[in-house]
Amino acid sequence: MNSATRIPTTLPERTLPKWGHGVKSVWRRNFLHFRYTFWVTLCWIFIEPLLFLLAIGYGIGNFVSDINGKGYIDFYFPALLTVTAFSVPFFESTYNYYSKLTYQKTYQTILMTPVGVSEILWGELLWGASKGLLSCFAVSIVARVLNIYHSWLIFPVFMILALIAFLGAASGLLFTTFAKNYDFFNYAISGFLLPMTFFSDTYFPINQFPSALQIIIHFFPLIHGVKAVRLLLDGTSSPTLYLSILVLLVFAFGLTRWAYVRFRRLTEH
Amino acid sequence: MNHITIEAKGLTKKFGDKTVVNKIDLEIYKGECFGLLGPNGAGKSTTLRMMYGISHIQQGELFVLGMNAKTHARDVKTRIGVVPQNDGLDVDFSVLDNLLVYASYFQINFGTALERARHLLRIMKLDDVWQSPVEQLSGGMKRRLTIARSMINQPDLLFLDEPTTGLDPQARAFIWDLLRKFKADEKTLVLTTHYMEEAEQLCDRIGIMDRGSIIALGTPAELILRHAGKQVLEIGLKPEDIPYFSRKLTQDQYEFLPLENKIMLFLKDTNKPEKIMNIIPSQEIVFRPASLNDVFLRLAGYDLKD
Repeated sequence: MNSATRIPTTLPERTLPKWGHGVKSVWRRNFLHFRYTFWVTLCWIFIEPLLFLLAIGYGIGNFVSDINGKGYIDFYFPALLTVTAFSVPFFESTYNYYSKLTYQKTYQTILMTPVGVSEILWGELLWGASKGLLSCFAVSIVARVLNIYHSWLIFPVFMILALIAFLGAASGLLFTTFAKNYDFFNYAISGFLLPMTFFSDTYFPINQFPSALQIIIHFFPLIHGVKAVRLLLDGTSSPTLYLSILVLLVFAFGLTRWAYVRFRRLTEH
Repeated sequence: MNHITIEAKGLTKKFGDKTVVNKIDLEIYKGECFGLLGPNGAGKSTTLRMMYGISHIQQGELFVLGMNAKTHARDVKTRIGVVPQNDGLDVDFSVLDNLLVYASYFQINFGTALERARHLLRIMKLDDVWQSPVEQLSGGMKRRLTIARSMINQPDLLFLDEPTTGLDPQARAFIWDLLRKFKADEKTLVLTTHYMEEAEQLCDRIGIMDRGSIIALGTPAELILRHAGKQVLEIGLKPEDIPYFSRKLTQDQYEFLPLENKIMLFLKDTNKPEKIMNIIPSQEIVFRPASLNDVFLRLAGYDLKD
């Protein structure tokens, strides 16, 4: 809040950015652009999960007897869904949104129209989340073909994946508001995204690590997502499931608000 | 009151300690073309940016199209068109898609947007390149596309920040023609420029800005008459002789401006050129009508052609 001295009266009074007609326009702009490269993207989003499932799920999984009474592939699949949901929007809202914020001046141009900062923010976050969900959709199709899951519970799981994808977009955008150049994203990816995807109960159970690390990792959003997706896909409706969802919601609220305050400061002069 | 399109009172903008726009009072009327002239850093663009609602108004009042620009920026933006200094075209899209995407920010439905976009591309002579990526366009084409984009919502008021900077003479003449047609429709134009010729060609009234303030305001003819008179004598001299002749001219109460290697003398009706030639024996004398550039030189001490 110390920015109040720099830009008087423009700090948002609302806790979250305002919704408006412009959200749809901003989302649609990205969708139209996506159509230019649609078929190439579509190929990759199917090939990638196939590679991961084969190399890690079956390849490495072959050397693992079982985890908590489950086959390795059953342990790994929910994590792959969650990591995909988080990281696809994360990449979108770092590199791409940074270009739009700086070199392409896309946001500056949009702000000449009736579309406001809040609507740009919502549009961009929802677009990032949409891309994440599309990738998750591809992952689940590939996994279905490989006969990894056979539960209708994949449908409610997508509600949680949507939340995780939104969080991925919001985290990425927050990093973008701190970026001074593209190199900055090396920190965001090597220092934040990669370690988090390794240690969030994804490739191996977290409980074999020192308890300090187990506590630290809970301050990051991804593990809560992995837990929720894993529990729901197993059909377990436990308090842990609801608690994880609640934590994800709190993260989503906090990160969106933080990103909004910073984003607004960067786009308003 | 209805004929006033923009009204600013005490409009002020500071970046840190630096005052970029300093207590500007200004009225711009419906149907006129108003030009803000001034050197780089005078505050022209910032003033314009406050008017089109992209720069926060720190102090003062600003009403645009009868709406308070502080509280109703969004409503203002639906009715204006903006051509910013850097075109700000969306490099992710083709020429036509640039217009269509921009139209969607105004909630214009697709059919209407397509119809208007086609019409504008025709007027702007861009109909042959409608499929091209904007990166492939020449500077003049980009500018024309930006102007087309600014008209997609059929604005009543158009802002242009240095519309012809960096363009070749033909491209410039084409844009001037277009803007004249726009004005003929009872619409209002506000532009900034460095070019005296542009201001004289297009603007009904001019405000000259320097260091954040408007230092002169009026029609081009008024400004020239008021600040530079009717005619100007340019007298070429050696730099070391200039102080001596300046003293002599001051004694005889002439209005003049000593420059590096010449003196510019602003003639009043009572002044006789022959008399001056007796005072200053120079071989290089140019006698010409006064222009806006003279006004600018006198008021701000810079040569705007730089």
